Formats: sequence, C-alpha cells, structure tokens
Amino acid sequence: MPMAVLSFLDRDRSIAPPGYSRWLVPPAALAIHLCIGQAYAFSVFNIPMTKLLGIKAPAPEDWSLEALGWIFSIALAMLGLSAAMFGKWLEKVGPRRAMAAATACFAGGFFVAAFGVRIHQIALVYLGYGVLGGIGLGLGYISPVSTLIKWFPDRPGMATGMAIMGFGGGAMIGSPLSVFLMDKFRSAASMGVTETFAAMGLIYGLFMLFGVVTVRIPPPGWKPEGWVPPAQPKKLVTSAHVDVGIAWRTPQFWLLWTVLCMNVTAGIGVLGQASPMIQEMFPGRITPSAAAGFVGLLSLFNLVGRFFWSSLSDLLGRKRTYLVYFLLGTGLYALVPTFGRMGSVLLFVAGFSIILSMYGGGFATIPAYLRDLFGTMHVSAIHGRLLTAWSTAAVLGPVLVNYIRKFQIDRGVPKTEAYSVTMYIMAGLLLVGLAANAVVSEVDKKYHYQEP
Amino acid sequence: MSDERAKIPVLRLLLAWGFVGIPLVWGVWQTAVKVVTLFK
Repeated sequence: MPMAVLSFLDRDRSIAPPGYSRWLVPPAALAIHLCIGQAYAFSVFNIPMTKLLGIKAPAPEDWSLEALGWIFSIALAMLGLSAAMFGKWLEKVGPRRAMAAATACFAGGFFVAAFGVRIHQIALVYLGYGVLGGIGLGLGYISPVSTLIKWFPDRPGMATGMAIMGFGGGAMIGSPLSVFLMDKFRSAASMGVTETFAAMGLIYGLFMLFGVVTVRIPPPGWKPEGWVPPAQPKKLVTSAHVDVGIAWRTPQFWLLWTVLCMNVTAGIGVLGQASPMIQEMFPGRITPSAAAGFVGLLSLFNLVGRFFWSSLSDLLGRKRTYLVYFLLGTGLYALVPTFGRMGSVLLFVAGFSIILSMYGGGFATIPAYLRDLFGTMHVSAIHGRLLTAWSTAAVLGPVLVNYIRKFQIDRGVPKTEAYSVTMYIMAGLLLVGLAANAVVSEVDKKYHYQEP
Repeated sequence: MSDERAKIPVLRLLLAWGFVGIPLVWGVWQTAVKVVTLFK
C-alpha cells in the first residue's frame, strides 16, 4: 500500500491523459499557494502566544514578542534556502512529488509547532513552523511554476500570475481563519493556539492534497489547440534551455536578481509599516481602524496586481512591464511625500495602492521573465535560486524604513515628515532596478543546454 | 495532441475552481469589509 501511494507521486504517473483540460492545473497550483500564503498572516498568533501561561496577561515565563518574531524570520529564510536547494530535485521528480513533500512539511510543521506550544518549548515551534514549515513554503512556492509554464506556452505570465496571486490571497484567508479558530478553542485555561495549529495543519494538509492529486504535466510535445509557436521568436524570448547550474553564473540571472530585490525591497518595507505610517502622516485624521483598512486595501491591490500585471506582461513583454513598474514606481514614491504635505489622503492612498499592485506584479511576472531568458527546462529551479533576492529584500526593506524613520525623528524631524527621506530612497532603489532591467539582454548561446 | 477541442470536463472544472475560489472569495470579502472603515 505505501509503495502504491509513493508510485502515485511518480512523474510518469502524473502525465495528463487525453482530454485532460489544462484549466485544471491553475486550481491545483492555487490549492498550494492559498495555503502557504498563510505565512504572511502568522503575526495574528504573536499576541496570543505571549500569554500562553498567563492567559489574561503575559506571565514572566511567557515568550516575548522578540522571541516570537524569529518564527516568521526562520520560515522566510528557509523558504529562500529550500527553494534554492530543492529546485533541481523538483525538476527531476516532477510537481506531484514536490507538492506532496511541501504538504507534508507545511502541515507537519503546524503539528510540531502545536506540540511545541503544548509543552511550551519555543525551540520546537522554531523547528516546526520555522524550519519544517519554511521548507514547505519554499517547495510549495516553486513546485507549480514550470508545470504552469509548460501548459500555457501562449500565456505564461497569466498562468504563473494566477498561482502567485494565490500566495497573496493566502494571507487574507489565513488571518480571519486563525482568529476564528482561536476564538472557538479559547477557554479559561487556554489561548487555543495548540488546537488552532493542529486544526490548521489538518485543514491545510487536506487542501494541499487536492493540488497533489489534481496536478498533471503535459505529455511530451503537447501544445494548445491552434497555437503555433512563433516562427520568428520575439526579442528576449528564447526557444533554447539553460541548465540551472549554468544559469546562475550568467549576468542575466544577477540582473533579474537585482530587479526582483529592488522591486520587493521598495514594497515590503511599506507593507510592514503601512498602518503607523498613514497615522503619523495624517495625525488626527486617520484612526487605527481606518489604518487597518488601508493595510487591507494594500493587500487587495497586491493580490490583484499579481494577476493583472503578469497577464499584461504577456502582451507588453517582460522587459517593458518591469520598465513600467520602475518608472511609475519611482514617480509615485517621489510624489508620496508631496501628497502627504498637501494633506490629500486620497492621493496618498491611491499612490501606495498602485505601488503595491506593482510590488505583487513584480513577484508574479518574474517566472515568465526567467522562462523567456532561460527556457522551460529548469525554470522552477532557477526561480528557486532567484528567490534568495526575496529573502534579502525581506531584511533590507523593513530595516531601511524603520531605521531611516528613527534616525529622522532622533534628529528632530516631525513625525509627519519622517517618512519623506525613506520614500526618496525607495525611489532611488527603483532606479537601480530600472538600470538593471535596462541592460538585460539575451543569454549568450554558449550557455545553452546541449543534448549529450 | 490537445485538450481544448476534446470534451471539456465542465463539472470537474466547476468543482476544482469552486474548491479554491470559495475560500479565496471569502478571504477577499473579509479584507474588503475592513477596507470600508478607511472610506468612512
């Protein structure tokens, strides 16, 4: 029986039978991404986990917020590491086995973390949600990418955009679901975190299994009905392939790494500080609950931008799409302080909403950009290695926003003005991305994969 | 070889998209409700 289950995960067993609709593959990818996107909602557990022993208020032996902050950081670091390390394995074994491994790690991580909370050992929570869950995040994030690109050679941006949109949606589901479950399980003697972790492990595990069972790879030589590959390939779109071991030694890889890192750095710092920022820039006019609404609006634009911009990139081309992100982004970041000085909440909110849509778009368009430059053979693995840019930006962005703000306030700059310099620096980062994108060219033929 | 002219598995497609679409729409709705407070 276990052997039968294991052989079901084989690459050969996941080849699509005749009549299989390629439109079943995006839901399989979404089933994975909607779950792992929960990671961005992990902060809802922070306050309850500081009161696991004291219940009404933190007890001296309770965990501090600083100690709890490491759980998310470890998970994100493991996301980058595992995506970089296991990409080549994924290309070899196929998406089904990789999705199954992601499911086991992500759901298993919740169970280990639940046990850690139960016996009040934070090391087990780090190991469970941080290390094991983080490996699930990395594997799950890249596992459907090359499969979607192979099923949608005519619209690779749209296809991968749909999956990566799911990651943005995952936080929107994870946050209210966690709050709902904690409310259900809370009692006079428990915050309900152990039970919530266990329930989420079960729910997410089953949901992700749907993706494992549904996903199929196209048979060799398959192409969409009526689609003819262009006789004259578009500029910057190769029909050759580059091995992952070679790809990361090309200048194009590092240029795209810079493009992603700059785009993410500019967005992620703002996303993390959006609530205090809008309240400090418009004192007395924006209440904490309105600020929470602003954060929600940015999340919605982040979600929609992932699908909208990546789909548009199929028409515009990837290089032009990033040109739009960087030019428009630079202009908006440079204008945001002026919107603040004008006292225009509407322009301020609109400016950041567009910026955050392009932040999401940057994530969602990068797999298709990689496919254009490096071919489909190892695109998931190359994408995995490129995600180290995300891990870097996850540290760089918040540090820039927080420290520059603090430095300004310490120098006596009013809080309403403290973000201005940060915004100009963000605009500068986007100019670096613009320059990197401008010099992206085709990968030299000497790097192309040759059949042995 | 192609999939689109073959018989389209409408029920499977509906079930698959419904399975992932319903929680996504629920999550978007939960967020949209919060956004309303910004415009009040």
